[in-house]
Amino acid sequence: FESCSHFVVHQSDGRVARERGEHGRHLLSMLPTQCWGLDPIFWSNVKLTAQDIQKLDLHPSKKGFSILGHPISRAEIVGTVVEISLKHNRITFSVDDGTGVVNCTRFSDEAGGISSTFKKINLGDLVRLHGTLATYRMQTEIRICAIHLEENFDTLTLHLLESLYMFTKVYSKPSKVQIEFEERQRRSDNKSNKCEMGTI
Amino acid sequence: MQSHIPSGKIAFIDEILATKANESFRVTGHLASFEASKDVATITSTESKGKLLIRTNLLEDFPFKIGALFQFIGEFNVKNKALRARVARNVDGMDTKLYAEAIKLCRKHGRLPM
Repeated sequence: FESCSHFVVHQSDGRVARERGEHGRHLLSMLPTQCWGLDPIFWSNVKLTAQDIQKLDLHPSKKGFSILGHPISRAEIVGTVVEISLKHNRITFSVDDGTGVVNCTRFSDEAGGISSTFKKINLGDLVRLHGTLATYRMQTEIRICAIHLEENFDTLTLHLLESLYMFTKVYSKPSKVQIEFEERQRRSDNKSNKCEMGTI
Repeated sequence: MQSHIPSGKIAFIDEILATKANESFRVTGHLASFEASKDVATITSTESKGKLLIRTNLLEDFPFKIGALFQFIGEFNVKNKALRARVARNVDGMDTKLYAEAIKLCRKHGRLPM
C-alpha cells in the first residue's frame, strides 16, 4: 500500500487548508496514485490547448500529469499541422492551435499502426486528435490514439469555446474523490491532531 | 519546453499592423488582391479597418481565389509591414463573426495570449 502524497497543508489549529499556487493551481492534497482512476477526468480526453499541455504539472510522484489538481492521462487538441516528420517507425505531426505547438506522434508498432488516415494529412490541414500524454526530451507530447481531418473550419472555434467552458465548469472544480479524500484527511488529522502521513 | 517551430499567435489584422516586434501570427481574412509575379497578396476582414500584405513566396501552387476566406500562419516583418506565410489554408465557410467573438472571450478568460 502506497502512502499518500505530502501536499496536505496543515494550519496551526489543525485544519487542512488548500493552498493556491501560481496561475491559480490548487496545491491541494494530491490523490495517491491508486486513486487516480476514481477521478473521472483521468479517463476522459481533456480538452486542452497547446499552452495548457506545455504548462502541465508533473505529479510529484513523477508518474503522471495533473491540471488544477486533477490527475490526467489523456488530452484532445485541435489545430493546424505545421510540420510532418515521417521516420521509419513513427510519424510526428506538429500541431499549432494559436497558443503553442505540440508534437503528436504515432508509432507504427501500436495496435492499428499508421493507418491510411494518417497518410492523408497534409501540411496546413486542420486536425482534431486525442491521445495519451507523454514526456519526450523534456517536452510534453501526445501519443495519438485517433486523428480526424476536419473539413469544417469552425471546429477550432468550437474547441476553444468547449475548452474554456470545461475549464470554468469542470476542470477548476475538485472531483468527488478529491473532496472525499480531503474530508477523510481532515477527520484523521483531527483524531491524531498532528502532522501525519495517512494511507487510504 | 517548446517545439522548435514558433506558434502563430491568433490575431486580427489591425493588431498585427500595430505590433512593434517581429512575431509569428495566425491571421484570417478575405483575399483582396494577389500578384503572382511578386508573390504578394492582400487580405482584409470585417473586424479590421486595415489591409495586410502577405508574402507568399514560401507557398507553392496555392489556389488563390479573390474574395475567398484564407487563414495564414507566418512571421510578420515590421519593417516591410508584411507577413511571410509558411502555412495557408482556404477556410471558406468558417463563421468569422463567431471566431472573432470566441477569440475575444478566450482572451478575457486568459485562455489565449494577448
